[in-house]
Amino acid sequence: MSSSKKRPILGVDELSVSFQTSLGEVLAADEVSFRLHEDETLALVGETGCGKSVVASSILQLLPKNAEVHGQVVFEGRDILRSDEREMSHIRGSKIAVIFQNPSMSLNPIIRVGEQVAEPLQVHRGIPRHRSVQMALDHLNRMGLRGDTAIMYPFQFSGGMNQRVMIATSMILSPQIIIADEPTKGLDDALARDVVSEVMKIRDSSGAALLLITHDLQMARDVSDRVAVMYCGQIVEMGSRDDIFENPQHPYTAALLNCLPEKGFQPIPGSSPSMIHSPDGCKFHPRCQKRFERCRLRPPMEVLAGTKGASERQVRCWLR
Amino acid sequence: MSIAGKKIGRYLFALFLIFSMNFIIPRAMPGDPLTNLLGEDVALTDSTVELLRSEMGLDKPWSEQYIDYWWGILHLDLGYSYHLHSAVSTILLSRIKWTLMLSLPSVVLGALLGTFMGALAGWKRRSARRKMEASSFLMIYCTPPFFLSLMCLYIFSFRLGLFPLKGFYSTGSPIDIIHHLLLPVLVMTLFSSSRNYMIMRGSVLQEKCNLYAAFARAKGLYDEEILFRHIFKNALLPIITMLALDFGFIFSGALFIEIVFSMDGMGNLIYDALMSRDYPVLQGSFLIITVMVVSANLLADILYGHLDPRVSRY
Repeated sequence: MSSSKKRPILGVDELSVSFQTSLGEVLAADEVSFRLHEDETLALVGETGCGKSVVASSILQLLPKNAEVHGQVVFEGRDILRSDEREMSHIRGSKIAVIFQNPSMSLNPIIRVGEQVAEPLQVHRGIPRHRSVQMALDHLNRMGLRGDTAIMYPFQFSGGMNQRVMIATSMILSPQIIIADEPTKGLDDALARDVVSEVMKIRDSSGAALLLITHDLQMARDVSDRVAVMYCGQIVEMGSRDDIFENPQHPYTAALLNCLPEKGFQPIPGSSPSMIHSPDGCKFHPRCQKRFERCRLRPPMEVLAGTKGASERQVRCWLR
Repeated sequence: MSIAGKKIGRYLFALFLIFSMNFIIPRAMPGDPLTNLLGEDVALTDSTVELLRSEMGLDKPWSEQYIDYWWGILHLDLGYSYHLHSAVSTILLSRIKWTLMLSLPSVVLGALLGTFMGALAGWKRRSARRKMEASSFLMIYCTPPFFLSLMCLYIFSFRLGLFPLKGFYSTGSPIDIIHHLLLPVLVMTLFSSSRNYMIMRGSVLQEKCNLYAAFARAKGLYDEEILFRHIFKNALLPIITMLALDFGFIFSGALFIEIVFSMDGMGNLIYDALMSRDYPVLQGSFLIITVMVVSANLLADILYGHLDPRVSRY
């Protein structure tokens, strides 16, 4: 997909999120900045616990109350981190929708599937119940859930079907942005592939921009236009998918790609650092093979020379 | 439909068992039924005793007595109270009427108030008003019923003279009856709502941590919409049995309240019958309570199936 002329529709600027816990302050997101452009898919990848989901949740202010959030999230010319709950409720589900991991838990166990899919129509558009359920049924049919699925309950569905129900719910108002938070986490391989194809279908049919949060590099490669790699709360590298996968600049990205099956499953030495006492300087340097004196200082996010717009390449490493 | 049929069958069987036990237990007890009925101090001639025995069917074998027992139940004949000199069914009917006036409004009001306020309290746990409210309900919940009743009686009736001191009525006009009922109904409502409040609050606190509540928020539902569209129904499940039992014991009266407010309802009737060993009255009361409790359980079962589709499939 050529993406040079696309306008950004979501701007995340220096987003930091910390939680006060009994063990100390957890810095789950540390000055995360990225742009999401119209009609593109940006994959935010990283190991479990690197803070990807926190970034996703903070965009829509879905974090628990003990979270302390700094920075800006610019949408439609406004910083929506400063919006109150009422304003956010108008954005959620209608302009920016979320697909959670664990679809079976995300659906209400005692409400019929049709009602749940229809709910955004009722809440945002004020469409009466009967008509909205009819529309939800049509919508579910288009998603490949046929027959009388609308009168079923989530416990009668498989995890994959529930994932489709959830995707249908998020899509029903044609939002401008869809945030998919680990849609394949905990699913077996076949099901994960199903979900990937579902996600690709959304991307191609809806024209929505997709922010895909995933630990699954294969999925990121199959689906995304651009990739941002997160490590310990920071984005360490960002660029077009091909650049990232073929020519990683950050040692962490390179190490992560070496974990892929075709690169021979080489594990990264050491283990992920604690988010409470994360290393000073470059957060990856204790595990980095190429570290040198300067890595004790915090490296800035730098734009590589000669790249800009959607193909812009950013790396947070002293080697560049 | 056959599932409902099976359920009803099971409950009918339970009723049959309980009714039969109600027949066996008094007969299995040591001592003479007549002495039990009349008291030990009554001296009767042998011929009178024989007459009474045959009148009560005690001279027949157990099998015949058992059939007579069912015959009586099916004809709503629950025996005769030698203490109160009246047919048990007549006594029960007149007492139930009064008890119902006391307990039905309290149970209904307590259920509504308790669940709704409890749900809101669980939803907005941190607001100062809800915290105050929760601690006052907790205090009421922890106070012994008779103590609270006594306090209310002392303050509102004795000191302030706002309410009558005792009984269901003095003149018998509707206004007079309502005036008499107001304070006891209030106390009972406070109790039943405080219990429902605590359970509902805890239930909502637990349910709102579920992912479906977060997803409801992500769909654009605002604040209490999430509570009433998604959480309320789920949170209601644990409380259904309690509410059903409340309705089951609606005829048994509120013993402490009836004693404190000197009201002649079912609670006092059972208490007096217990003290004077008035077995026909006790048996009759228990039968009626049994029927109510069993049907309330059936109701809860059906309601569960209705509210939670996962239950009705099994």
